[in-house]
Amino acid sequence: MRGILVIALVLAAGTLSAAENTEAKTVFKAWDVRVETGDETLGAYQVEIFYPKTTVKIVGVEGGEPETFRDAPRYDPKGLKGGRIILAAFTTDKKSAPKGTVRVARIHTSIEGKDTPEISAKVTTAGNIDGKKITITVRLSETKREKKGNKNEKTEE
Amino acid sequence: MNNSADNQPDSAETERIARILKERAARLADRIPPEADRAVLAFIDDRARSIARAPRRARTVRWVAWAAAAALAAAVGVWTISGTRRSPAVPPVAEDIDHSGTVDILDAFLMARRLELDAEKPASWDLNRDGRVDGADVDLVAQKAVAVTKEGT
Repeated sequence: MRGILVIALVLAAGTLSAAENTEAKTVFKAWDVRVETGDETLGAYQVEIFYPKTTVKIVGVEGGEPETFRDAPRYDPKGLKGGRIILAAFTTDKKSAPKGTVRVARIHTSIEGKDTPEISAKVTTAGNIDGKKITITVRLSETKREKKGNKNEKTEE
Repeated sequence: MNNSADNQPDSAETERIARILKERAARLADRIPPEADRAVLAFIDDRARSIARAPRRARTVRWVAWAAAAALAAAVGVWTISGTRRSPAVPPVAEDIDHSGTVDILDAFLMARRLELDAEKPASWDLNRDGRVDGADVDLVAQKAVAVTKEGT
């Protein structure tokens, strides 16, 4: 009887440990999507984001910092776990079209494993507020929250 | 443009030179042995004939060049036409508003700007076929722009 109890305890401990390990393997990270427009106003942008689909899933897409790009950009839900997502948005508001470095979106990811995945982005196209095609660059950086509940966020390149 | 034909004397000039040389040779005939005289005259005739043939050769070369160019043009034409036939014609995509060859957010942006300006909108922009061009059509274009199933965007 005592032997059976010991075996049961060992099995329970093993199960708990395995569950803990599985839980510890999933981390959530947010990524800022920033574009650099130089002296041009940003009227529209379209960027592609590539990520390893075996370990990364996008669990949320939110808008950017300037009011004109505050709404979540357009994307295809199929892109949330396919390894590639296209984000795009535009504004026709001439008065508040941003320029320079603009955080246009933020994506939230769940990542399996401890390694930081290779997530990259490239510009598909962009236009200024007058509809003229412009050249911009895109940059992805991990968003770090300083404290839980603190609205101020720190971004780490 | 200079070519070998331009550098050759024309046949009239050649004949004139030959005539002068023959006249001079006739004047000196009594002082020159007849064999030498015949040899010189034969040489002059031969040389005159070869010079007179030169422009004809140049014309022939020119014709060959033209024929080669025409053949090359025909070959390029055939190649282009056959190439077009091989690749299936790409149907125009209604959502490609700016005719850039791809549907992207700039197409939706262009539509939205035109809508805002209340400018004239082509009927072909009524993508959802509801009888009017409006924000719903812009949404369709934007949706297509970000679709990940398609390639090349």
